[in-house]
Amino acid sequence: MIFKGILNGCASNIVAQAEELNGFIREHLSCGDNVGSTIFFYSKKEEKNALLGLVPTESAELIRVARYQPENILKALETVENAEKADLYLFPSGFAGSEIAVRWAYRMKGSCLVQVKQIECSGAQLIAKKTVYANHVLGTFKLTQKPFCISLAKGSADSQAIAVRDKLIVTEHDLTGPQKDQFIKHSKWIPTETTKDLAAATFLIIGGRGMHTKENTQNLKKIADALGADFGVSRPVAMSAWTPMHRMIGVSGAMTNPEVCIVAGVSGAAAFYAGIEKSKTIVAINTDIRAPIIKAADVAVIDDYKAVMAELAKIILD
Amino acid sequence: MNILVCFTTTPEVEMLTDEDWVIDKNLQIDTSFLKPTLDSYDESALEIALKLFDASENIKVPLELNALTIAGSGANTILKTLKALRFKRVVRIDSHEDLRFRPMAVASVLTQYVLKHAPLDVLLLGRQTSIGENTRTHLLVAEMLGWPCITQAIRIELVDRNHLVVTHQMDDGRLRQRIQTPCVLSIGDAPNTYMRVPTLKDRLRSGKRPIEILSIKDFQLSDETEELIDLEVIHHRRAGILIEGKSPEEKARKLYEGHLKGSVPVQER
Amino acid sequence: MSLKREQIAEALKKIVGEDHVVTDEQVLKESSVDRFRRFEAYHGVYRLPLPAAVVNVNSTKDVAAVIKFANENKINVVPRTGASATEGGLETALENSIVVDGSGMNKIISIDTYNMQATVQCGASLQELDDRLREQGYTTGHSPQSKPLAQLGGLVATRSIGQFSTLYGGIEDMVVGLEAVFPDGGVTRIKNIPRRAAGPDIRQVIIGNEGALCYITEVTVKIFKYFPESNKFLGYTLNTMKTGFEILREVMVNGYRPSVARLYDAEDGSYHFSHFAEGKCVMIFVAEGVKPIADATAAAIEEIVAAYDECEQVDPKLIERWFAHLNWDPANLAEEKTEIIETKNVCNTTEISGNWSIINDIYEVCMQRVKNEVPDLTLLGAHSSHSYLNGTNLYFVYFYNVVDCRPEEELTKYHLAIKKIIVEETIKAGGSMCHHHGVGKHRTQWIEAEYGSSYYILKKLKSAFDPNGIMNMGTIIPLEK
Repeated sequence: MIFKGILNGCASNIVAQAEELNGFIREHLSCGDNVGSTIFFYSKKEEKNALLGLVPTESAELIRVARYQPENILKALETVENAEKADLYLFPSGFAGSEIAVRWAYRMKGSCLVQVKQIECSGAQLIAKKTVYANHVLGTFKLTQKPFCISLAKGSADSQAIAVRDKLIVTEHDLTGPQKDQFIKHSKWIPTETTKDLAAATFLIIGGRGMHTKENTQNLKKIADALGADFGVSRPVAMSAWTPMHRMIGVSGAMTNPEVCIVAGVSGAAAFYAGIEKSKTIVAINTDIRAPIIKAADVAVIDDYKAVMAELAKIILD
Repeated sequence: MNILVCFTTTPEVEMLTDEDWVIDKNLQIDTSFLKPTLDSYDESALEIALKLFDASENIKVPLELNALTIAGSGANTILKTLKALRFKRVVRIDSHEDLRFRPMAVASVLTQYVLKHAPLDVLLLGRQTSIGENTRTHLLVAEMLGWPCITQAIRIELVDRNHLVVTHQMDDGRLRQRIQTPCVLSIGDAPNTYMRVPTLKDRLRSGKRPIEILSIKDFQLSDETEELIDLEVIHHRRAGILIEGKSPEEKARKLYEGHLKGSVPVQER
Repeated sequence: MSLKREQIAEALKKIVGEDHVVTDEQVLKESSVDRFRRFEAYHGVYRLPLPAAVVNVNSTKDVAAVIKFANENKINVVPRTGASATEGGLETALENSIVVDGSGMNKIISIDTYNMQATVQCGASLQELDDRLREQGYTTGHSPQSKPLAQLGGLVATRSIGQFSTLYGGIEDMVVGLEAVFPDGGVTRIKNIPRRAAGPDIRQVIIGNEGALCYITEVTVKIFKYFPESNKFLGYTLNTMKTGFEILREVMVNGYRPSVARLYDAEDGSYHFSHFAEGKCVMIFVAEGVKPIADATAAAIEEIVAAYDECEQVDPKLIERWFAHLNWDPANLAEEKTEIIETKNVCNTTEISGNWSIINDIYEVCMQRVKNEVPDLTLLGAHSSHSYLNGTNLYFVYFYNVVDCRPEEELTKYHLAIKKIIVEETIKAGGSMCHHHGVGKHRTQWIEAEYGSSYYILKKLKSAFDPNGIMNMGTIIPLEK
């Protein structure tokens, strides 16, 4: 099978994207019949060389664009993929990957599935699995029309660092020319903190709705800071704007795998739990013994988290 | 400006207990006893639309809100609520089809509706439903209509009849763009977008206007290019050891001594 | 000479130990209110006197010592266990009160399946007790919506009632024996016996006292054999409450005892049953007990309902599943708070009771008046959930948007305004203004109207058992102006 990985070099998380793709390829596409190449979109000239160290396949295509703008990216892909289409296109996890995957599939009249956890080649078809029912259920789908276009789920494979290649086939394109995005009259970029720190956290403390107030949220963060732990929140907390969005843990936020994860005042909805399921040790503190998180934790304390965390902090710091 | 919000009603699956998660031979899960509610992203989309309506009154730009869903009669309560909340046209395409994993079908129906009932400037949808998690419908509609699409929108501001300022979330930051309609916008995790509640008087006032009911039989449903072949319940189970103690302080001590000592990592700050 | 706050806290520390006395300001603030004031509390507004301390008691001895101290020094005591109160019963009406929290006294002391009784401390969780009993094939039969949170002390003090009361009765039918501490520090124990005629039933002085007469430290309740496999669920949609009341009356008057007999009006119904009962009233029955009785009860109800053409049957499975998800739990409450703050939409309730001949009129006049006189309502409905031989209750449920109104004004503008209408119309018609939540501190203004000439008995109880005025002052009996 001929596959192509598409990576968004315009985004600052390009290394993570490349390592994720590398891991996925190694886990699901490493048998001999599969031949792959990688397409990078990038905008800054000075970044080009760095991209050459991030190629998980034997060949790469570098496409320079003005910036990441979906309509233009798709147009660029159409130009470049004019001649021979791949059987399978892999898009990175995250927002960009999913939106391009769907629209590319439609234009190429291929099957599409977004946020895929696993795949299995089965002759002319592709079997792919992803979560459904708010992460409570794993759905298995049969993709029948090539090209198969899938975007990866966060954490679908263990990221793998890219080994240095001595031989690499590279093609380049410059498509910074006329834009297709005339509907955009003006745009302004607002950089925000990414969730990189949470994904790399080894000690994580997470607060949920049980914190009840913005003030309590800030207090728990103070404890996390004092203990040298990273701090995350569940979706309801982020949606009430008690912390910035980038602290949100779960499928639409950060996916983590810390050594120790303490979860306070979180009931444990499946979509949240997916963000911590790779933790080595999960400690849940909740006043409700029937909260779903309790059975899904290694250890649980049924009590008011404020008192427990205050004492725990005292013990650890002494 | 003419805005159409397309939404779904889904049963609140977080209300299901462990025993309820049973997959039958038709790959269905019985949720018939759960009250249908608005999916979180759809709720955000509806409230964002209402905020645009508020803005339109302030800056005196003519703006019309409409809402549409593809559902059985169980959605009527929510439709009545929307009627009471200033949505001018409230449409239900009556359907008992299993559309859980059929984003192409849904997108084709929405596209046909939009083309038939033009003019439309903005199509607003939530990013995904919690059941299907397809995350494709809005993009497929955009492709079918040939309209641009901005995903993960978290804030929308009204400029004039044909222009909006849309702030949307990207993987490593946010982009704030002034755009010209028409456009498909899908709503992501937008803070502070719980939908407002209409008063009884609002409901009384809107009572006379009917909910428009169409039939899905009048539409052509596109085929999917993927087929669901299995569903498997995911169980998250760990030891769940309960720490007993007379006080939270005692429990904290036992927790540390028994489970955390030695494994709490020291991090660079 | 009254003691200062710090002196009170110090003295308490000497009595129960430092670890059991809490003076953290946030805890004190939260302990000055209950769910009645939750809107303002969610906004961080606490208007009531801050208690001097919260004392976590671990034994009857502790309780006796604390209350003796309070009595000697004329300090107000607020007894508390599960903290699920909704009528202000846990509010601190006086300066420097002591909130005595018995939730640490949570032991299930004994379960006696031969004499069919279970004895627990006041802080025992009802959910835990019932789960334990069900494991063995028994039940308390007591299932208020607050079950996941409530504890036995508070449940007895408020004369609570549960969802299955039509078969098992209210808490007053379930209590066998009690232990309580009275203000003079005396521990009184009422033994466990099936019945006696040795003077008036003194348990009724304690049951429903809402902490205004004594502190309940131990409770013995009946236990019942539990036959969930025989449960029969029945549901119907119908057009009017009037018909619904008639059906309920017929079921009760003919001697049937379904564990659940509920009637929802279309508005309240739409909140719960929109997926099958758009715009209609809904009736729900559950028949419980040994199979022959459950079957006979269900069959009889079906026959009674069949005589009313307007009633249409609902799939019993829908009813069964709905029921299983009805109770509050901490997650729901946490969610409630964020939603209230974001949408400024609040839900409150007022529950009353009346004889069959007046209940429908009370329903209609209250619905009419509240709709017309109170602004910003988003939902107004009612349901009957506890029926008796001679009448039934009505539980009014109302949601309103808090508009142009500071948090501290919400109660006056909306909740109390609605309550006033319902209470006054009910008392006027000859019904009771408090079916099962207790008087608390906010229906006290109508207590004399509620009792009429029998108010004499209530007042004497208070002056006899709490002469120094230290037990949860402002509850049931209003404070003297």
